[in-house]
Amino acid sequence: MNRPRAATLLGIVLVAGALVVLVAISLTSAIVYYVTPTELAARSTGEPVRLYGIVAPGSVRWNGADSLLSFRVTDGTTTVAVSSRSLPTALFRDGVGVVLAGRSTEPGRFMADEILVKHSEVYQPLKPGETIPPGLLERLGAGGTTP
Amino acid sequence: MIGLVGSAASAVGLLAAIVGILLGVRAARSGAWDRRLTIVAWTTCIALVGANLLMVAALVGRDFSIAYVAQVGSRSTPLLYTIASLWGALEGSILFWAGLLSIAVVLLVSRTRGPDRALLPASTATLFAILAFFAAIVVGPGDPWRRMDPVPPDGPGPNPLLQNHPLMAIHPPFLYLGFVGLAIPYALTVAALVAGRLDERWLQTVRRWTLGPWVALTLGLVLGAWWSYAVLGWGGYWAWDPVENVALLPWLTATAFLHSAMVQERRGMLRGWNVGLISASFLLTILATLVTRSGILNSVHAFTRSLIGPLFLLLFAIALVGSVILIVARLPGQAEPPPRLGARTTAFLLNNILLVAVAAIVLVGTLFPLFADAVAGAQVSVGAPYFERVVGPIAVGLVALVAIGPSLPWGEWRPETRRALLPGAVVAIGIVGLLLLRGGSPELLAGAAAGSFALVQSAWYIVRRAMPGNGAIDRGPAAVVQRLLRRRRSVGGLVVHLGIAVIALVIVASGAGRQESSVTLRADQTARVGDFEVRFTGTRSEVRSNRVVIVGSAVATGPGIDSPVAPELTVFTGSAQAIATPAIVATPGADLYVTLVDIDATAGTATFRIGIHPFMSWLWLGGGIAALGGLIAAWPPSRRGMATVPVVVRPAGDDPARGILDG
Repeated sequence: MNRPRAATLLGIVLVAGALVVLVAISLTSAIVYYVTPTELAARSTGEPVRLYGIVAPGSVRWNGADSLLSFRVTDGTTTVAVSSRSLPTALFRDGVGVVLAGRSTEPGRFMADEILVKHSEVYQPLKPGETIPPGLLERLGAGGTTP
Repeated sequence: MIGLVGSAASAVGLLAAIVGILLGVRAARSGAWDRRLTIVAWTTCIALVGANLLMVAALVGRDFSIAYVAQVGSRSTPLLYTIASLWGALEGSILFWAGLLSIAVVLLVSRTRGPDRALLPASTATLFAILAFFAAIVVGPGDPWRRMDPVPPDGPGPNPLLQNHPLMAIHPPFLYLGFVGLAIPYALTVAALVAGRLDERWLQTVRRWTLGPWVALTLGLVLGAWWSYAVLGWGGYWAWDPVENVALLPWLTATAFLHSAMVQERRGMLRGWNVGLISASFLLTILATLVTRSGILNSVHAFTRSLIGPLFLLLFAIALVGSVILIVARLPGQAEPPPRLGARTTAFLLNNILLVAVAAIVLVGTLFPLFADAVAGAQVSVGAPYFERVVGPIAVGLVALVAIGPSLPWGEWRPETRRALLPGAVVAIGIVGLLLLRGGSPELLAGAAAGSFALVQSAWYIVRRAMPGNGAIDRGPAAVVQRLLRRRRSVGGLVVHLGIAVIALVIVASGAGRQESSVTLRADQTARVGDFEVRFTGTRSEVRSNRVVIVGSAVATGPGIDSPVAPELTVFTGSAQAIATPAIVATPGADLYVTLVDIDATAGTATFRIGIHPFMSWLWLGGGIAALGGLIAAWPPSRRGMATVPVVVRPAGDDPARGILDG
C-alpha cells in the first residue's frame, strides 16, 4: 500500500470516527422517552419526556391574562396537572388523547412546551352511527348548521 | 363492473411483467434484444396505466362497491381531492406506483439508442422484476378492487388533512415520480455490472436518467415543506418527521452521485462509489415506501398486521443483498486509473463525504426509535434538536463548498483562483460584520456567511459564463443566451447552486428572525406582534359540501400589509377531527402567519396564534430555482451537438482553469 492511499484511509477512518462520536453524543442527549402519567412518577423532575394520556373531562382552564393553559391528563390510574404557555394546533378538548413534550416540575405537576393532539396518523373516520362530537359546533359558535 | 375490469387489468399487468422478466433474462444471456420485450413493456404499461385510470373513474363515479373507493371516497368530496385520493392511501398509492413504473419501463425501452441498447435486456428485466413486485401487491395483499358486500351508500372521504389544500394534491406525485424514476439508473447499473462495462457511456446514460428524478424529488420535497407550512398550522416547514426524513435520504445520495459522476467523467475514479450511490438511492426509495406506507414507525407491532409491510421489507432485503453480491462479484474486474487528486477533485470528494454523512445521520436518527422499541421495548422519540445539532454544521460546510467548489482547478492549486472568490468573500464578510454589530448568534453568523458567500459566488460564476471569452465577438443578448445554452450542464448546475444558496439563507434568516405569540381577543380588540397588528373583527361559519368551516375574521396591518385575514377551523362531516388552517399574508420581507386556535362562543372570544416568519416566500422561490437548474442541466443536447461530444476520459491535468461543470 502506498502512502497517499494510507493517508486517505486514515482520513476516512478519522472522519467516520468523529461522525460516530458526534452522532452518539447528540443522540443520547436528544432521546426523549414516551411515558404515561403513572410512569412519569418514576422519572426525575426536569428530565424532558413526552407524556401521553387523555385530557380529563372538565379540567381545561384558559387564563387569558397570563396566556396560561391548564388541564389534567390521565391514564385511568394516575392524573397529572399540566400547565402550558403553548397552545395546541388542532382542536383540543375534553377526552382527547394528547402527547405533551415537556418536563415535570414537581411530583404530579407537568409543564408542557408543546401540545400535540393525537388525531392519530392512522386516519380514524367516524364509526357508523357516529356524528361530529356533540357540542363541538355549538361551542365554536356554529351551532344549528348541518352540512 | 369497473372493479372486475380493473382487477383483470392489474392481473394482466402482473403476468406481463413476469413474462418480461423471463424474456429479459433470456435476452441478457444471449446478448441480443428480443423485440417481444417492447410489446411486453407496452402491455404492462397499457394494463397498469389503464388500471389507474379505471380507479380514477371509480372514485369520480363514487362506485362504493370497490373496497378502495369505499375506504377513501365520499359523495361530498370535491373533484380535485377525489382524484388525489388515488394516491392518498396505501392500496391506491401502490397501484399508482406500479402505473408510473410501467411508464418508466416503456420510456427506457423507447428512449435507449445506439450502444446503450446492449444494457437494455438486463435493465428491462430488473425493472420488470420491481414492477412485478408492485403488481403482485396490487393483485394480492393490497388489492384495491375487493368487492364490498353490502355496498355502502357513502364513504368517509379522504383524511381531512389531505383535503384542505391543493398543494396536497400535487406534492406526493412529484415524490413518487422521483422515487420511481430512480429505479431506472439502478436498473441500468445492474445491467452494466452484469455486462461488466461500467464505462463512460454507462456513466453519461445513468447521469441523464438521474437528473429527471432528481428534479421531481426536489420539487416534491419543497412542495411538501410548503404544504406542511401552509396546512398544518404549526408555523414550521420541516419537522424532521420520519416521513419527511425518508424522502430526503434518496435526494441526498442522488445529489452526491450527480457530483461524484463528474469525478469519474474527468478522472475515471470512483466507479465503485458511484455504483454504490446509485444502488443506495434506489434502496432508500424502497425504504421510504416501507416507512411511509407500512405504519412501521407508529408501532413495530402494528407492522405485521398487514402482509404489505413485511413484503416491502423482503423487497428491500433482496435488493440490498443482491446489489452487494453483484458489486462484490463484478466490480473488481473493472480497471480504474490510479487516483489523482487536485483541488477540484478534493472538493468533490469532500462534498460526497458530507452528503453521505448527512444521509447516515438522518437515517440513524429516523430509525433509532424502531430499534429502541424492537430491542429494549422502550418508546422513545429522537427530536429535532438531534438533527439540527448534527446536520447544521455539516450543512454550513456543504453550502461553503457550493461557493468555493466551482472555482477550483482540476490540476494544481493556482493563486489566481483566490481572486475568483473575492466578490462572495467581500459580501459575506460585510454581512457577518453587520450581524456582529447587531449581536447575532454563532450559528446565525456561520449560516449567513456561508449562504451569502454561496449566493454571490454562484451568481458570479453564471455571469462569467455569459461573458464572451478572449477574442470572441459579442453579439448582444442573443449571444449571451447562446453562450449560456451551449454550456447548459455547467450553467444548470450553477443555477441549482443559486437555488440552494437562497434556501440556505431563508432557513437561517427565518429561524433567527421568527416571532410568535398567542392572544385571546374580543371583537375589535387588537394584538401587536413585531411590526404587525391584528384586529379581530368577528366569527362566522360556513357550510361547504362536506364540512363546516368556522372563520375567525381579522384585519392585519403592518409594513406592506393592510388586508383582511381569515384563519379557519374546519370540522369535516366524516371525521371526528377539526383542522386549523392558517391564514398567511406573504410579503417579500416576511410572512404574517395567523392560526385560529379556538373560539369560545359563550365568552365571545377567539384565540389566535400570530407568527412572523421573515423571507419565507423566498424559500419556495429557491426550490423553484433549484428545480429549474436541474431541468436546464437535464435538457438533452441537440442531435447535432450530441454527435460531437466526445465521450472519453480526458487526460489528467488538462484545462485547469475551466470547471468540469462545463459541458
